[in-house]
Amino acid sequence: MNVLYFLQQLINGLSYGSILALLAIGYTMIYGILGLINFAHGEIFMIGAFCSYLLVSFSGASFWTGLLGAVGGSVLIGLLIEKLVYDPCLKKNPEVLTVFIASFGASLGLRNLFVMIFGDGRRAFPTPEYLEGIIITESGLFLNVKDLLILAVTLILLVVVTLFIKYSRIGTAMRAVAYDPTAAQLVGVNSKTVVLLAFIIGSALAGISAVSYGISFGIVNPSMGYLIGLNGFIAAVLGGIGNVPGAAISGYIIGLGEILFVAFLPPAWSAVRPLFVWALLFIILFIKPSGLFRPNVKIQ
Amino acid sequence: MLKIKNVVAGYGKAEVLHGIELYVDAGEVVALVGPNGAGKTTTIRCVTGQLPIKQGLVTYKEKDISQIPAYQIVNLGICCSPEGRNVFGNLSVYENLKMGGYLIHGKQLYKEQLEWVYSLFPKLWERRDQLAESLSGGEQQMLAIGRAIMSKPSLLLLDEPSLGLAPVVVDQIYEKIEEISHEGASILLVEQNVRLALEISSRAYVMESGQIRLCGKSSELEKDSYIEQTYLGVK
Repeated sequence: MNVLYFLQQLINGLSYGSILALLAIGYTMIYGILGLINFAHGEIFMIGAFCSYLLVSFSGASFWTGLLGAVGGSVLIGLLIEKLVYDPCLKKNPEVLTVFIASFGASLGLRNLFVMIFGDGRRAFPTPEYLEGIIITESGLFLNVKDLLILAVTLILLVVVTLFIKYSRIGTAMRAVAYDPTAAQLVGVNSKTVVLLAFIIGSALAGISAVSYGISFGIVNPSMGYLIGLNGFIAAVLGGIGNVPGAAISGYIIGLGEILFVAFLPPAWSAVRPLFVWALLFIILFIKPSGLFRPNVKIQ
Repeated sequence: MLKIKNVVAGYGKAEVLHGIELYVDAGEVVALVGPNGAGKTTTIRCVTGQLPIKQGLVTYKEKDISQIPAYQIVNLGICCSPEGRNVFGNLSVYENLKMGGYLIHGKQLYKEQLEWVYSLFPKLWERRDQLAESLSGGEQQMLAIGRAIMSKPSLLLLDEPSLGLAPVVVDQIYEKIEEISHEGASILLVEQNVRLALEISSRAYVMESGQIRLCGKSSELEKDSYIEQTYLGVK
């Protein structure tokens, strides 16, 4: 196997891993703080992609305006889901199963709403020409400008979010609420603020992840958030639930793993690509159920 | 300062407190003692806004506080070190104290409070970068108290600070509680260890099955024959 091919696949994997890493943070933050799996997170991602697609394709907005639109749309839908689904649900009947089903309902409802409006066909995601460029290095390595952009933007965001969680006052409060909401209340933390902040940060990152996905794969469609959403969720589990850097690193592990898994198997095997993630999840949960990194919740 | 008047409260349909009367004056250390399940912690939860009261009145500095949500109670100058310590195990010792000063406005006050807590509990300074989870029970209790006094409360609620600790450690913690009280904070101390609680407090309430059975000066209660027989094991 030649080195060049490996490096090429490595770059693909890092680009795909970036998309998963940003997505995984939303799952892990919301699970850490509310104790619920937000299955609609994949739809928050999808709606972000659609916002960007609609803005750029139909109103002639620039790529960057589209990106802002994606972030705005994702945050808006994230907050709406919190307000209309989780908040009433947790208030009335805070049982795990109820919230779990509500979460599934929100996910299915949104996905099918978009199928009704837009049909389930794939639509071309508008990528500006300057992002379609390819840099060829002296050694013969092909670098897509968009991959480099995705990687750079993601790494910056990951550093910012990690520092925010680690050192800011409210970031510390988020970790405190994840561990013990009652004690956090007693020192004056309004858990509502923390919950909303988790939805805002998680959804905003999902919006950026969605645009990365759009330019990377060149398509949008209503069910685009489903499979990748599951991968993001698995990354959150692998990373130790509630652990933001853990989720991001696991996103890269899955992204790289999946790409390299397919890259080094015969082409006929490419259909088993999703198998890699599930096998990895199975093995890790079998050996270390709490994930690869330290969970940020109280372990009973 | 704190007045609890005829408070009825409970969980769901089960009524735990059947009309409690209690007050804490400025600068006082008041003990609330009684057996397990008497409603001591429930009383604390009514003050901190964690449990809505069904009847009666909780006032602080002449102001009704029974409708104020738990996260705003600290702003009034009331802070609680909860039963079972409840430190944030996933945060470092320093971060726990930082959370204690969550609502402090002004860097100067924050620094002063932090220095005070560290001088009161030098162990916490030594272990400031360690995860709270890795501390011993006694150290966690110190941290829970330290976290509660970070906000410079005028009323400190301590729920069972001796719970599950070795006698030597309990003595150390009680010394610190006295020091905190000398700094001017009023303290409402919930305790199962009646002897200790009566020693440190000026007044005490004895609670049984959701009612105040006895109250009075601690020095007098210590000699009360019912208390001697029931709680102090004197025959």
